[in-house]
Amino acid sequence: MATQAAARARLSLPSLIPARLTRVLPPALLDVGWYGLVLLAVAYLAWKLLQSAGAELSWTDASEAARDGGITLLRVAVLIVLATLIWVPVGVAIGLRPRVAEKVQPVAQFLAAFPANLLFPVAVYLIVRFQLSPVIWLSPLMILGTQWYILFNVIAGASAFPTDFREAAKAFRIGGWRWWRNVILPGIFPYYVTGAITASGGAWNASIVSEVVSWGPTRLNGLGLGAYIAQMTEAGDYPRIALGIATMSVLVVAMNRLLWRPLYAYAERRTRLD
Amino acid sequence: MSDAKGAIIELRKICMAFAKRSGELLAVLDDINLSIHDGEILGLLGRSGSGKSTLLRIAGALIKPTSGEVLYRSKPLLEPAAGIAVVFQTFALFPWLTVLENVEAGLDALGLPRDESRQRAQDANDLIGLDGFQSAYPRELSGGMRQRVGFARAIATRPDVLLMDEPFSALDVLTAETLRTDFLDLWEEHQLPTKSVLMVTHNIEEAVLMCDRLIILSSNPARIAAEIPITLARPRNRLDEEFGNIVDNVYSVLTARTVASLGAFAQTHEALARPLPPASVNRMSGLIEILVAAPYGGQAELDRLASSLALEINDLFPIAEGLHILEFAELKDRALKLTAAGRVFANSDTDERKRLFREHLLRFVPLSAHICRVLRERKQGRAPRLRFEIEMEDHLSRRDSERTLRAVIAWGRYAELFAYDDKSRTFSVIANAG
Repeated sequence: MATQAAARARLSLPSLIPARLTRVLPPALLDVGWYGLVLLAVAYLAWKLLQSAGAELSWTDASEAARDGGITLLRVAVLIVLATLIWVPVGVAIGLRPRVAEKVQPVAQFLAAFPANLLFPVAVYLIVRFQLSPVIWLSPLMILGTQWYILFNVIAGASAFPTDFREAAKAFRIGGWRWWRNVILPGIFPYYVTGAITASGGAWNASIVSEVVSWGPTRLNGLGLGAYIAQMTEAGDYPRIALGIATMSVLVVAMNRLLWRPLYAYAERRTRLD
Repeated sequence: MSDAKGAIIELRKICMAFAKRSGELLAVLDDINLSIHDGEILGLLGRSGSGKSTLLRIAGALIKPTSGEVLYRSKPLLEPAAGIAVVFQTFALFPWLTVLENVEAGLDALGLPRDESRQRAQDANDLIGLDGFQSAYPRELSGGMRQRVGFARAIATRPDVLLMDEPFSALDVLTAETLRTDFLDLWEEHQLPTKSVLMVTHNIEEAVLMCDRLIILSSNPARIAAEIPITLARPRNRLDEEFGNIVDNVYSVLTARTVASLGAFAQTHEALARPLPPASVNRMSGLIEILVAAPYGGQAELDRLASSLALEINDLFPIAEGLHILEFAELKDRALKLTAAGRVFANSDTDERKRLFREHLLRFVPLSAHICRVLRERKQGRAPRLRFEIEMEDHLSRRDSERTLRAVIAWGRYAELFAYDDKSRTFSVIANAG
């Protein structure tokens, strides 16, 4: 639910405003007023921020944050692709078997709620033990907690896949790769996108705790925007915290606007019958 | 009935049972033997919920029967085969594929070269009247055009046998007639690659118009009740007297079956679990009023009644059945005749009608008396719907039990026997009633 709302989220007037008001004022005027208010608030905050932090920040800081953002972006993208390759087939296999789905679905939802950072020390131990590169091997931690959204959305999609489509596929003996391409993947696509939006958003958040991980005296730094924010927070460097968070917000919003939202609209349009 | 001569598909001793909520099995099909012959259109006719569609799916190996076997060209059919194609009631077109891609998807399994596959799909589309719509998506098409795609997809595979599951029932009357006629034209001109057709329908006229032979199924569980050959020359004309006679004949076989099974139900099943038809009190009293008035004078033939009321027979039937169960009228052969109680009902005022209805409901629908008894026995006078659902599903399919409860709730509310709150799904006694 929340994820669908996120996919469609717009800067729209909260529905708290009583309906009576819309009877007095034309809705268009209310919209303009609301947008104006938002714009003013943003401008004020930006000005305050620039005033306090701008003096201390240089272009080097900006380019550093941008580079780190790029690293984390790459990481999120690779992980989403990997999680997709693993969980989409698994989710389809489960979702098409109602009895199995009934049992697995709550487990997947539990795993999504389970605090993944409890497992981070295990990762630290393994990375140190086998002398692995933290830049690569800390990455999976980012998606540990959020990959399950892909799984249970795909399960939900496959469970909701119409029986008559399945029967048609069976009757015309559509199998193998063609079945994936022409039948099931387009069928679960909107569900998958919903899951992937949540998973990628969650991964961005998780980067802050998973790109720098310590366990006892051992401290591993995986580089990236999350690590940047975590380090600046530790150092109490407000201007750079603000810079890091602003960069992350811009990247997340850009990803939603440029990738996920168009993809969602496309998915929805394609699976609609009316 | 199951002579193997010229049979393309043969069903032998097919039984089908589904697991109920309680884990027990509910028989849907019982010992069905039939064959689909070379060159014929075979119709499967029965009331809704009689298991016709299940039987069609078994014939195409889409589902496995609980017992019995299916032979296709004398060999056991265990999986859907290349020579068998299905046309679905709901069309079952993939919304993300264009018309041409949908038809081509049906050819996937044949492993044809790309050019040939495209050519075949286009030929089928042209034959079925889809030229010009190749690149459209299903959502851009009307229901009639969508079902044409369903036909094209099936025909493009050049099947021996076409299995059609109520292919026209999701369409409006005019569109359905156009599609039927187009299909019959192709069939009669031998333009279709298909040798035999098995068609499920609940529309008697459609069955008589299209089929060479009809198999009539009884329900709960379905058995073959009758087999009727239709030798009428093609093209057939609905206005022919003989056409009308055959429709009447089929109709009376179907009705006799229903009445017999209504009677049999009381003996073979617990009376509690007798399924009730979806008949509203309004419609039942309306029908009583029409029957008592001129020109009927208390008795009418159902088909004439249906046509004069501009109702489908299938819509009229549940109402007549409701009156029969409540003994306000008697359903016999193809006629509905008011009982004495029905006449009294017609001439009473609202309160008197309610009282009469309540009496009949308690007496002839044991389920309603049972609900009242349960409510009386409980301290708070309330009982969850689930309690009765579970009880009903020991004897009825989920769908029938759902429908039956819905009917008894509507009837019980009118008779003021009990109250029902759909939000909490509970029955309760009415505050000031005994």
